[in-house]
Amino acid sequence: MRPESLSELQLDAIREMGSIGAGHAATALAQITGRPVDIDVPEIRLIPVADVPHALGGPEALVGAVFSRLLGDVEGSVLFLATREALLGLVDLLHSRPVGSTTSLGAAEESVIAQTGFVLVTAYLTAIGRLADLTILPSRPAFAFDMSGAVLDSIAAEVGMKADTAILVKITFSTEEERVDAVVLYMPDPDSLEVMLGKLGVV
Amino acid sequence: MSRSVLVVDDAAFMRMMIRDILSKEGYIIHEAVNGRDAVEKYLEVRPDLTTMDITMPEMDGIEALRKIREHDPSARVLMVSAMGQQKLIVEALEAGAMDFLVKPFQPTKVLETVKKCLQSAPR
Repeated sequence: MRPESLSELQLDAIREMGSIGAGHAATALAQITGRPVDIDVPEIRLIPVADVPHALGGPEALVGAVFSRLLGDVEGSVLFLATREALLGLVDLLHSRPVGSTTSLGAAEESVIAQTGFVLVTAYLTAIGRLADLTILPSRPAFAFDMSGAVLDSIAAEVGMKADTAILVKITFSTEEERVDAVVLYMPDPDSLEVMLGKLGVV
Repeated sequence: MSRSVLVVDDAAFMRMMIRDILSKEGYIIHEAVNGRDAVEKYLEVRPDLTTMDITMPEMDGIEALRKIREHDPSARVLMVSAMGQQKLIVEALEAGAMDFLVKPFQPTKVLETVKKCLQSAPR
């Protein structure tokens, strides 16, 4: 099921899923940090999986990625991605430090990012699962920091990527002090995307 | 007599979901695709209740709520929002919205909230 074969109503349903998922991720971040977190209206795009690196600033752009396979009623994968700068900001936010305090990403920072990315992705998946009346859970997360093209290649090599369509949700989380840009990439396998659309009543 | 509900959302999919839930229970449904359209449709059909999405192009849900209440101070408006919009919900309630629903919602929650809004005195 490629993006161009989807009807306007199906695209609408997918965009709505993205926006609802993003809202729940923001609420999860607010709970972790203990302070209000708002989001701008998320930018949601459906693109062929092959085009994902270009949408992330080119295949050579450095990104941190938290990767999980989908478990439950849906198969596929999900990624939480952010640039190095955004990840540094996220670590400051999580530790309640002034913006600019974190200047490098070591093992401790990576662990915090992986756990947080996992919580945000879980909130995202739980919300869209509730909308579609499906159980969708992420597997134990893996963290990678590399060029976006390499991250996607290694995921494809590891799990075998069946998805042809990626749902890319750009989220800007904002607190009073800080704004952090991140991307959730939701890549259900083609059969699973059909199942979801069926459950949403937009076959 | 059947109660009428104006469903306002820019996403056809969300309008479809709310319409399906409410029309099964006998509500008469009208639809509007953005805030500006909502104000026009409201004046035309004078629904018993309006469900209003917050984030929409042309005119957002809060401005539409204000405009509708200018024309009809007893208008019953139920806001529909995503998570992460707490500030906007507070703004809408201050502007006269009766209640709010957070997406994704269960049909029972929608029916319960709509019923509650229709039974309460307008704000």
